[in-house]
Amino acid sequence: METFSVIFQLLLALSILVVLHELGHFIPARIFKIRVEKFYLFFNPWFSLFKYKKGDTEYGIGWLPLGGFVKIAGMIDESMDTDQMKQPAKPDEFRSKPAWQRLIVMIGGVIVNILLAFFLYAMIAFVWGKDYVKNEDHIHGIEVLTPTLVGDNLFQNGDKIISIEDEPLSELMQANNKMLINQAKNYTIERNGELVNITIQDEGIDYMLKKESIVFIPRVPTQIDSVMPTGIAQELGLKKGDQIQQINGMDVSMFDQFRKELTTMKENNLDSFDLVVNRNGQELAFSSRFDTTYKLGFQNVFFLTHDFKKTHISYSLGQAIPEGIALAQTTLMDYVNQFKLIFTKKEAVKKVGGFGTIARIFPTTWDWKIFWSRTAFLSVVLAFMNILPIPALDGGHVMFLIYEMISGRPPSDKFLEKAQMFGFFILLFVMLYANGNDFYRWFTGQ
Amino acid sequence: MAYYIGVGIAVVIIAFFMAATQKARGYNFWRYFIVSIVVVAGIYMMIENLVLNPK
Repeated sequence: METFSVIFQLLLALSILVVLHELGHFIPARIFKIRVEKFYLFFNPWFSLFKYKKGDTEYGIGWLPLGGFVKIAGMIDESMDTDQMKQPAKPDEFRSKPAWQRLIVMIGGVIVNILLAFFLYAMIAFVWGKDYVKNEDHIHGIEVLTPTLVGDNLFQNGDKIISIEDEPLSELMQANNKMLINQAKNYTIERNGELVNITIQDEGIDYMLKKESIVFIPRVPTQIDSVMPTGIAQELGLKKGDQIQQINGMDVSMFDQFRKELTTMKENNLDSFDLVVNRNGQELAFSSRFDTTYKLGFQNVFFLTHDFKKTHISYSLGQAIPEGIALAQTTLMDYVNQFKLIFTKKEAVKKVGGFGTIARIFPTTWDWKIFWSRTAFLSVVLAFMNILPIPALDGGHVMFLIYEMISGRPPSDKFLEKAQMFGFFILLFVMLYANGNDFYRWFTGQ
Repeated sequence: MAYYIGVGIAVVIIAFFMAATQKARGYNFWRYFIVSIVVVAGIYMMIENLVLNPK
């Protein structure tokens, strides 16, 4: 059921994006009186699930959900309709129209995707507002998950990140994005009431790419979220909400300290322990013996569920629009920076994913806010990927049209056909590689 | 042997769907199917050489 829910969300989001993207080509084509032979959601080899013809255009829904298409008369596209191109150009064909009109038709899809992202992000801000924990409200500071980034001149658990590259940090989790995507090197942190400047190299980026993990999470206290049905915690009578302060006299009020102390005790084969626990302001003492697992049998609070002070911002429609535009811009820039990593970091190439990776951005349960937010993100991704100057993509067509506008003559049909074929192979390679990576990860359980 | 039979089946399935997308646009399915088999198999061999057997 959960897999079905994710697949349904992916198909719905892609269907919305494909239809609107193709509409972005279709509408200017019709405005410029270019004949559009087909407008399809999904491909329809042999048969269609639904179709009807109005004017020159056949509208329909195919059965093969690998995208959608508009078939514009007189255009060399990935279909490589060379038979049609051998005929003399007709006035209602794409190739008979001036370059500026063809340019508008070609960029229409990408423009719609960008506008859709603006609209969706703005509506999300307007309807739901924004809920987040301010950086300063992570009162226990950070926990550093990357061992190579921990040290006297580096980060330490409990540090508070004040600014990155001289820019104040508003949300703690953004620090991970800034390290990975913006490759930020300079951090100002607060440690024991003093400001300290830290400069790092690529340790964090390499760790995140290799381990598929983030570097910083909010530090949380050692506080019981739930007690396992069997285990030491249950036997001792520990309860949800109990805060463990000390173990064998060592301060373990933070969960990273507690984990570290347990590891040390296991290494030293200690067989018993004393706990000091704070329950509703009252100090309680417990003693027991370890079992072979050296686990106490409770679930600690997690940073996502811990009751940090949350801030809610509501937006009027007038405020939501610029907020939506800003969010779409940030999403685009982050994605572009992430894309660059493919060319600079070997590890990043292995992380390229296909449909499986895209599907995983959707949750297993239905949530409208998350669904529209992920759809907006995919719209930005679709816009960027489509405008890359690769023949067979919209960006490839745009590249050749700009060449035509500058040089005054179009590339020959033969050249365009070959370029299309070349671009098609590139896309095929990327598609196979990305989905092959997904398959490999699924097969090896990574 | 079983591995390469699996790869062969995967290549044919991928090529089938690729050719089917072109068929949807009204072009010759078999022409694209055959070309796609060659292309997908070629790309597989390239990936196998590059990734599975790095020099």
